[in-house]
Amino acid sequence: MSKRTLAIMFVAGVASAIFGEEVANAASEAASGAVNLFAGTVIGAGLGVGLAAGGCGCGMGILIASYLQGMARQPELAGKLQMNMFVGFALIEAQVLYALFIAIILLFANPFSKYFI
Amino acid sequence: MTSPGIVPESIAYEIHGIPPTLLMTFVSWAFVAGLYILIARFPSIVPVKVRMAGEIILEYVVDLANEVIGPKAQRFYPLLLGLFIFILISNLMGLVPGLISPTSDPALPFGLAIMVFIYFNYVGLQENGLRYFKQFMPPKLPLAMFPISVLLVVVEVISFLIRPFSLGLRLFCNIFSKELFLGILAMLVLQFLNSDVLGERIMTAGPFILRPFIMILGLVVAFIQALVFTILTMSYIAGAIQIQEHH
Repeated sequence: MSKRTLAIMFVAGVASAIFGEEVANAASEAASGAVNLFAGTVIGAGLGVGLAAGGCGCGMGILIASYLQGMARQPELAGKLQMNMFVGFALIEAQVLYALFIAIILLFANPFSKYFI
Repeated sequence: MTSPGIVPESIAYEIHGIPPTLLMTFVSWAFVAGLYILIARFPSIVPVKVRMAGEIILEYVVDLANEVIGPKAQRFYPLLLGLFIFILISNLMGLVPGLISPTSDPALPFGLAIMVFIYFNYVGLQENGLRYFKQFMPPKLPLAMFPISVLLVVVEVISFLIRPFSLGLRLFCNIFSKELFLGILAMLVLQFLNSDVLGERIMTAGPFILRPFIMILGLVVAFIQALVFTILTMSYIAGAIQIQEHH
């Protein structure tokens, strides 16, 4: 295995050793259903927004890269390309905001919390 | 999520019985209507630069409409200009201290989106009659692939029906998350000014640097969201007028 693979595995092992114990303790202490529900929604909300932001970053990178390439090849089209770029930017950003919307609803207006409180 | 439940505005005022965002909607609407009526009827009162700005915005929206919708665009100019400038002024109001953006209340963006949805369906039915529903038809496939055709129709209809929802949600989420962020940073500043513990003071000193940048971002987002709402409305109207079979 290359040095880089070994380095990545080492870092992953150390991280799991540091954080694994906390997670194990927390999992064994989660007694009632309410704690499970709220813990689950918090993890879900955070993970969901994180993944959505990751995907959005990839998409934006491709969009802006192609805009820059187009602008570099034909500088006189920069105005028309710019307008389409902003439309594309807003459409991609909307995907992240859908995930953020669900996360905010889960955190502040959870529809299932009325069964536990 | 209606009034400042989640985002406590630090200078919150409320006329008895009217929620603040509704009050801000009236303020924004009155401002836009008053400004354009003054520009149109009594141009001598309005300073030159404001008049020029109003005309530049009008010309920009009209050019864009001509480009996207084509020759029949003239009957839509008032709707598109009204949407653009109302959403722009509403978004920008959140940056003024003491005012809240009316678009940060979920009612306004969704209301606008539903209005746009009903309107472009009405225009499409008026222009094309019952041929309007042909846009959901899948391409011609052999009879054995009938289930796939059904699935394609279902997917088309669902992605058509989700248009108003995504249109409103995009505008609402952008402006609401900016307001939420600015509100939370403002509360951190209040905590900074009211605390005596040094550690807490160091940790809550971030907003002094962060707030200006978020406000600049908010300025950019206000323009872009107004523009994107208008462009998408234009493209939906254009799609409704000129029915082409998809694919």
